[in-house]
Amino acid sequence: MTTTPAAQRKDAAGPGGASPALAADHLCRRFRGVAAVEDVSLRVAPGDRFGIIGPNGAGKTTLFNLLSGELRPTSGRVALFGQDITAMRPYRRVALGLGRTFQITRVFSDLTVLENLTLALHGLSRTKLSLLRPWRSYRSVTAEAAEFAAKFGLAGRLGAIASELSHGEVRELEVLLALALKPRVLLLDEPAAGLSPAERVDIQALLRSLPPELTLVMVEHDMDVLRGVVDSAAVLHLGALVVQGPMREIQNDDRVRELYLGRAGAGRRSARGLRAPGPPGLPPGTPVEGGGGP
Amino acid sequence: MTGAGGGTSTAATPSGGGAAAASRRDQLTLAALTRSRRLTGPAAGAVVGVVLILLLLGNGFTSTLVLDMLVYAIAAMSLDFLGGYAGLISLGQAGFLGVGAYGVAIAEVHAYSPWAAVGIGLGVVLALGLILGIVAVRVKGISFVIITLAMGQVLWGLAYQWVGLSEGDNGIPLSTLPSIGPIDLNNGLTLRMTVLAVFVVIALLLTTITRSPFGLSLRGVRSNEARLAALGYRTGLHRYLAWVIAVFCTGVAGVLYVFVNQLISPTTMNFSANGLFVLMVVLGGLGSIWGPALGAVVIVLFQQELSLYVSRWQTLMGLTLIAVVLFSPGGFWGLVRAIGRRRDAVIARLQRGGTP
Repeated sequence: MTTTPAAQRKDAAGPGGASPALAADHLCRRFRGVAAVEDVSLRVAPGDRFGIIGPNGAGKTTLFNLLSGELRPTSGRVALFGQDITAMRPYRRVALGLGRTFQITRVFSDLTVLENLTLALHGLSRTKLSLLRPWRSYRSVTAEAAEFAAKFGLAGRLGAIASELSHGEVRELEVLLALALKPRVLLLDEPAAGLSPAERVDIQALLRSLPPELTLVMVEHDMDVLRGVVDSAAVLHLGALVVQGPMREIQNDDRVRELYLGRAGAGRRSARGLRAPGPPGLPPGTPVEGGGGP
Repeated sequence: MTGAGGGTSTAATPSGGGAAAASRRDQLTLAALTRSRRLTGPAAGAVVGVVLILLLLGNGFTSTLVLDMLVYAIAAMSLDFLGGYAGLISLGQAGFLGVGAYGVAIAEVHAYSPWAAVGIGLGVVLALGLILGIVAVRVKGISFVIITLAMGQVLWGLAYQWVGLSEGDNGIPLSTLPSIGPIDLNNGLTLRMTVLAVFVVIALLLTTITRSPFGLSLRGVRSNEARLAALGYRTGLHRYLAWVIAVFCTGVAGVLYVFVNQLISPTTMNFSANGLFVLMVVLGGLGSIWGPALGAVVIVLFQQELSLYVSRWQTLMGLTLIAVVLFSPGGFWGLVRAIGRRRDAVIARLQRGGTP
């Protein structure tokens, strides 16, 4: 990993270097002494499709928020294409090419699909502070918004208020908003959460159709959604990484199987998230838990 | 598009001459409605403009009433710009109106020329907006309401108690208004037309901004600020700019206020004045700019006209407010918008070739 400032600057100059698209070094985040994320290190190469898996309460969303900048780490660092972004606020990270979606869908629900996409398309340009020209008169932007919507199945819905869309359509809009910024790395927070099986297939198809040079980092609770979308993954449990590697190995890993079949005795905090929760009260497998459930 | 719609309609109803006549009628209705969509706004604006000019030509009670409406309307529109778009409801609006007015009056007391006094008044309100904005936009929702309420009360307290500067309870009279060449604001008619012109400029400025990408970003801030930040927006900056614009326009209203009344006293900035501006915005319709101007008209009518005949006019105002909130949550402007939506629905149906 790059350590000298000079090397960092060189790497920051272009994505052509050998630095990973997204790297986390010994990330820790504690909430009042309770570690939600403990010493997590990740390397995601440019163009990779990377999954972060784990039961509920494993610290996935905390880790995700550390990467996206919603949260600051207690210690450790985050780098985007070799550039240290640990102390950067979310909107600055977005400008550097780090896009994100939200687990609890966040679109502008009282705005139309066209207005939603227009906001996203102005996001990285100075025109977002333009005061005197109507936004509808930016023909190239509205045309691009229409093109985006058409490419991802929202063609006839440009004039619809976002709150009138179906759940699946809202999820698609959510991903479109992030894509409109043309990110180099896209962080997806459980994009299939709460979707019907048919809608899951739609969103998987959308994810597979993304340009190959785009790096995807996807947090997901359900391993089935990741299958066919990501190549490699990391498994998180009680805030710490259990295993990291190609998806095929992950699926066959004994520890992961234990975790997902519930024999590991995950403790009360994560028992909800496991499909077949084990008996409560067994000692946790990793020395992280400070006092989970009430 | 019109022709295609009519054609579909004919083909869909093959029942002879009656259908053809009906489709022709549809086509005419569609053309009329489409034209009306384009022309209603400008036409209504022109009519209102002519009526206002006619009312302001006179020199009596009516023209004073209209002047009050216009001045309050500017402040109400500014409040709506901040509250209806960025979602920041300010309860300190009257305070900033007072700062603009006091700025001019105090500068004149200190022997500045009337023009310099206007510059000083606007400069002070702008500077105050820039400084207080740093604090105000750090918070949202109810905290913002409370912090602006506090600011308004502090400004009122200063006007009331800093007697050396503000002459306290008595207020400051303004003797001379600015004049430039043939435009002499000491002339009543010139002043009235100037107030109207400034109102039009501010109204057009605010509506233009609300339609810009920046205006859209403010609606994004209100709708979902975290999402907007994730799209690369520095949302605090957007809220800050909206605040400064709103405070400055309110200051302009304050300058006009002291011109029209030739007196500024702490009463103008008291708590109930702040509440009245919020009432104007809610009655008129949050997030519409023109609606709150309508709200200002209604409130001034209640306050100054109805109060001559009905001593319990405040009761009537309260009942009106309850009725509006219950039956038209979008305020008066919500009713106007509902008519517009009805028309759009009819147009869409006719274009599809259905029967109205």
